[in-house]
Amino acid sequence: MPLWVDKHRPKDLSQLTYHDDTTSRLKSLAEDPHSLPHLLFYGPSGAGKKTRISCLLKAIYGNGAERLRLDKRTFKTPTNRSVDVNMICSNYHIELNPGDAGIYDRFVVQEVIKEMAANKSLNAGGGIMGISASTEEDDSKKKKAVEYKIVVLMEVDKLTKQAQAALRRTMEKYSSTCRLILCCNNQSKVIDPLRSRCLGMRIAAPSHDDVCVALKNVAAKEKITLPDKLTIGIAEECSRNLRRAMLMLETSRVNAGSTVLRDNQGIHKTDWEMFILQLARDITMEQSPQKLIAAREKLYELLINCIPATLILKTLTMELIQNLDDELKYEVIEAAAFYEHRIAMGSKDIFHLEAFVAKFMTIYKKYLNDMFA
Amino acid sequence: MDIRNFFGGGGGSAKKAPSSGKKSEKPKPKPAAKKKQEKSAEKVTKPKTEEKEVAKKPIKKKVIDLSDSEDDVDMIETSTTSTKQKDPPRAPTPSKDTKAAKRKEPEATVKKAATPKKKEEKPESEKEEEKPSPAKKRRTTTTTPKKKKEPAPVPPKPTEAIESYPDPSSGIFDGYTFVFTGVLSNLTRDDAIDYVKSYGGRVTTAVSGKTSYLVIGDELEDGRPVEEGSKFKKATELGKVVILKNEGDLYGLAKLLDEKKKALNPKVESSSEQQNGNVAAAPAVANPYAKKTAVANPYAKPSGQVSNPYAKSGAVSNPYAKSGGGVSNPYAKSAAPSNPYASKSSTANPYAAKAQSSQNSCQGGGRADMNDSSALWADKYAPSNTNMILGNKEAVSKLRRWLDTWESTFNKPSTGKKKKTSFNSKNGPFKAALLSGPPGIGKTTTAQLVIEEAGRQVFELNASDARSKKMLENSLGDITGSQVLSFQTKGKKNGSKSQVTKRCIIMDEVDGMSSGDRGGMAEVIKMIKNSMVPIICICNDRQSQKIKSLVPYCLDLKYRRPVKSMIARRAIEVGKAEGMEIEYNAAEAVSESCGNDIRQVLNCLQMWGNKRHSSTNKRADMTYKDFKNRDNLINKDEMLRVTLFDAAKMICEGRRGLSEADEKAQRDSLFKRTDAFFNDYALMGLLVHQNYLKVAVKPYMTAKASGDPQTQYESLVSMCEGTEAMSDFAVAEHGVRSGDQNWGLLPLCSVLTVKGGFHVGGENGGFLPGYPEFSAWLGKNSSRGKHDRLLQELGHHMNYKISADKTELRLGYLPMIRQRLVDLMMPSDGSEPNVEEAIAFMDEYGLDRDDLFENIDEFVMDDAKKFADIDSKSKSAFTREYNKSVHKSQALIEEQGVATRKRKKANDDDEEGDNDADSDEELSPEEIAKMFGSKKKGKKASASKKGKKS
Repeated sequence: MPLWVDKHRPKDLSQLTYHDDTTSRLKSLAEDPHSLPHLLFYGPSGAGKKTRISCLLKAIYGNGAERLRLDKRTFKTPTNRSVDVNMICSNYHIELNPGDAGIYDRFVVQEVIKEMAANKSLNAGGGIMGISASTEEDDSKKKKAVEYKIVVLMEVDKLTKQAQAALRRTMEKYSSTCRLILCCNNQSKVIDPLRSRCLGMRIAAPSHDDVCVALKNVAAKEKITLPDKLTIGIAEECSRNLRRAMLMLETSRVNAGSTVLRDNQGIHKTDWEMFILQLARDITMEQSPQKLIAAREKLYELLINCIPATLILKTLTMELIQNLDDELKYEVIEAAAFYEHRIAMGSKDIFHLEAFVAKFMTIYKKYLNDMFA
Repeated sequence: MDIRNFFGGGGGSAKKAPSSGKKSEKPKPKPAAKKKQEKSAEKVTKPKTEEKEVAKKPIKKKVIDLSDSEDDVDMIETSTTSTKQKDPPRAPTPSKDTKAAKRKEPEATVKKAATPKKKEEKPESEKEEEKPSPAKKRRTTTTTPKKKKEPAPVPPKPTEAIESYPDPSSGIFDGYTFVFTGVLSNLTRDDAIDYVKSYGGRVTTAVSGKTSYLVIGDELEDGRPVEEGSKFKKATELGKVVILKNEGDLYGLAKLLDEKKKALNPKVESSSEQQNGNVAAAPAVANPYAKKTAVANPYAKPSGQVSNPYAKSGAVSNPYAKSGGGVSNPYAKSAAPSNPYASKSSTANPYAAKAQSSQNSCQGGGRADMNDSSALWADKYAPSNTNMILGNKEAVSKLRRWLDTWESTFNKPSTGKKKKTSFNSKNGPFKAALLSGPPGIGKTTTAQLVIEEAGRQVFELNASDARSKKMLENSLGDITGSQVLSFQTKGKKNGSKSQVTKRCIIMDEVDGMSSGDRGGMAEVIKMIKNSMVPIICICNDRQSQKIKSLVPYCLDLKYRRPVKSMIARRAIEVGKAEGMEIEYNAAEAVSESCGNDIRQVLNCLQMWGNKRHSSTNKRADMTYKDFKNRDNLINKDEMLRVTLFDAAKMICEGRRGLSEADEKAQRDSLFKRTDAFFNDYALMGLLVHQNYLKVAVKPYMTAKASGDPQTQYESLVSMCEGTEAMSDFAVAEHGVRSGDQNWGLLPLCSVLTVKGGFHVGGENGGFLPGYPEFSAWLGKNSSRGKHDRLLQELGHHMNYKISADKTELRLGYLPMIRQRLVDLMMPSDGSEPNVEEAIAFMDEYGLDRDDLFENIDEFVMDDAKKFADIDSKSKSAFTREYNKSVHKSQALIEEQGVATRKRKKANDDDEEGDNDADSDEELSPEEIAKMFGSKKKGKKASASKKGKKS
């Protein structure tokens, strides 16, 4: 019994509930698959990029694209090093995350595409051999069989520059047998040549209304009563991440213990969020070196749990400024931005997080002193 | 100058003749004995008796205790007992103490040297001598007084306390031992010690029979009155220790002694002239001159520079009449240098044994020709035989014995039963020996000399050779596996009896076998096991991992640093040989600052000595004062000798102790701290980061206690500035490590670290309670890496069902999944766990048992329940259920397929459903073998798969 977030994921373009303009564009692409360009889907997490990609695949290839299997492939680098990569495949496409290979992602990418390109699909050339592997499911769609396969690359913004460079030539050369769909969070990390070779599809974060609509849909399907207030509460809490919203909804359902959800039931936060809230409380309660040392331990705990440092910083900041005056808010946010920049530059996170906490402590202390002076 | 002339006694030469005749074999002891006799003779004023005694004494009293450790009291005792004609009791001793006598011979002369200085106290001292002698009669023969305190069992008391006496002549404190206790009124302990040492005094930390003076302050460090201190009490017990109150008395003493010495000076002049004449006159007569020159030395140099060090070291006696080799030159030039340098008193015995060697110039020529002026002194005066090695006698003899008996132990083919080489026993016969110890103390030298002396052929491999497995096999394989037969009979007439040339291999610097010498250490061990020749391994770090594996196969010889007095004496000898006067205290200070590393000490001295006086072209001399005042030019980098943690503490504490200091001291402290960073530039930043906040606690608590919020705020601000500096440091370090690899930023890193330490401590520095902790960042980082991998694996399992990257997985999915499973497996209402549903859920997402029980648990943030803590009943129910069903999850199909196949032995292909049969065929032979070989069914196989995947 899967989680609602997976259970009610749209499998078809028609089931998408928001970004209708994007949906219509995808539909038109699917109708003329031969001229499908390389695509670059970008947008924040939880907006629906991957969902749309699989819908598109289904629209192009039919149901066969839904039959997924997991492959584990070993690639050999020129330095005789073996790299293992997991790929999700169907008969028509393969999807992989080259970031798994670490610094050898370049070889993985080249190998995969060349391999794909080397083997022409059965559908190529159409006509006599227009037998797709799953003919019995290819019911009504008698469109001309698509002759290329699709390679879906996830997290291309984490690719090394060399891998991205390797991609650009390969993309052009083998485009007759292999089309690429790239997916990333942040377009700025993708090099220009790649961006120019792809059609960019921006999948924006859903608005609060969109989230509410989606939640309501799911609630209807699951036959639970979802009061409006709670819906809006979840939508605001989820930071426009539909996946999170769905998970929150399910948590609320579990917490309520019944199919009737109430307005006033609190929205359950995830474990790491609770942890950060606790940290924020500690810091505001007492400002001293001892507390900073204790805060450092908590920060380490969070970092070990693979919570990204920038997220820690952002969540902590948002929590800390709640009780402050506006001008202090400004100071704290300025400090947070400064240290977030430093974290993003790549150095050891804990130093900067600690410096931020210390800075907050001084700001807050001054505030308290002034208030009680 | 002849001491007998000095004393005004006559018939010295007459006395000499018979003794010299007798003492042909034992030149040294006899002259010494004779000298003593002379002195006592004078005192007793019985020339005839003296003569007889003198004549007799040399034979019998061979043992003149001249060891450094002994009081001159013993010496005096000897003389007094001689006057009492106590020959018979002493008769047996000579044989026993011959060696000692020989060794102490130089010291006797040294003692004599000191004697004239205290001439005016003779009457007094004579009385003193009489007194203690009965008590110490026995000791005379066996012990050797180290220092020539013979003149003054009662040190002179200062008559006045004066404010300061900054510049007495050097050597006034010769022969006196000082102990300090309490806090002096106007002088720091270190300065006082320096003062005493600069003028030839000896400073110890405990009151003993040898102490001459106890300098007391007003009170002890902890505030108690100084009379309660143990040193004071002991001194009063001993009685003969003179108490000096504060530096006033000390200066007064200095003045007194200085005046006395100046009064002596004219005499010294004349005596030195005479001595020179004597030297010119009779170079051939080694022994008499040895004595004389030794005696004359202090006076030979009007400046009094030389006297004490020689007296102290006791190495003085060396007759340099035979100035052989390189020695002649320095001595020919300068009449003054007394050149008692032959004896390295620390190794007195060996030198005593080799009479001729002691007559030679300074021993050396180990690695460079003695006449080579451009060679390093460390090479020139390297030991050329095992007796010359400083310290570690036991190790050397052990090594020698081991080497000598090696063949008989291991290569006896004739013995019926093979002697078992017990590799792991402590005392078992070892095929290899391991010399370990700090650098510069003589390990390599020992090995080479021992082998040479044992008449073996040496084959050496050191860190400059490639010593990987292959290379070792090629180069040493045949050596270790065979013995060389030599058919040269060397004069043997009958037949060619083949002789086996004994060989030995030295593996120098084995701990330097880096990754480049791959497999080298293992190969060495293999070689040792199969070798037919002895192998000597040399290393620095006995505790390192590589060496630990080698230790069971080797005779473990630990080398220790020689004591600084040993090094000091040797240094003085070398200095003499090179025409450079070195004060004993200075030599000790040099060796201390170099960390008792002989090589370094000699290099330092060479560097110092290269400064030549422009006019005389003589080498610059080294006095204690000069050494202390040098601008930190010659010592082993102090920062290198500080440990990592001490350096971190130094940086964290910032400007501690600098509140009163002047600018120079402040600047020095800053440089010291920035240098401390480079003690280990990779780790220092992390260490400081770990500990610097603890320093901030104290100022904050003080501020808090004061109750003033403003000060609290300010202490927080300084803490914040510290963290900012560390944040800057992180950025700079990132620039160094990754991306551009801009190592030019390293000094910036150093300064930022110091800045961080400065801020938390404040203007007056901070205090780090306890010992600095090691950095936790490294451990945490690797933990994070591990969790990252686990997350990746979970992601692999779940990937085709969910759409999330690693981050989202952790942030959103995991808590949810965990919650769901917890509710199912460990219901809060205490009901039975819903195992089927849990398994169904797991299958849906492709999670296997490991994921459940181990991996998901890793991501627990709070004190929530862990799956691992599930009670065994539920766990077994779960396991049963899990193993019953077939898990169709794609991700696990390979693992499961293996497991189920093993369990169910076929019939599983159908059940694997719509999954590709490929997955089964993808199993490689190794995997199958592994699977069948594994005890745990699913676990092992999945673990191996897991290993592959991650």
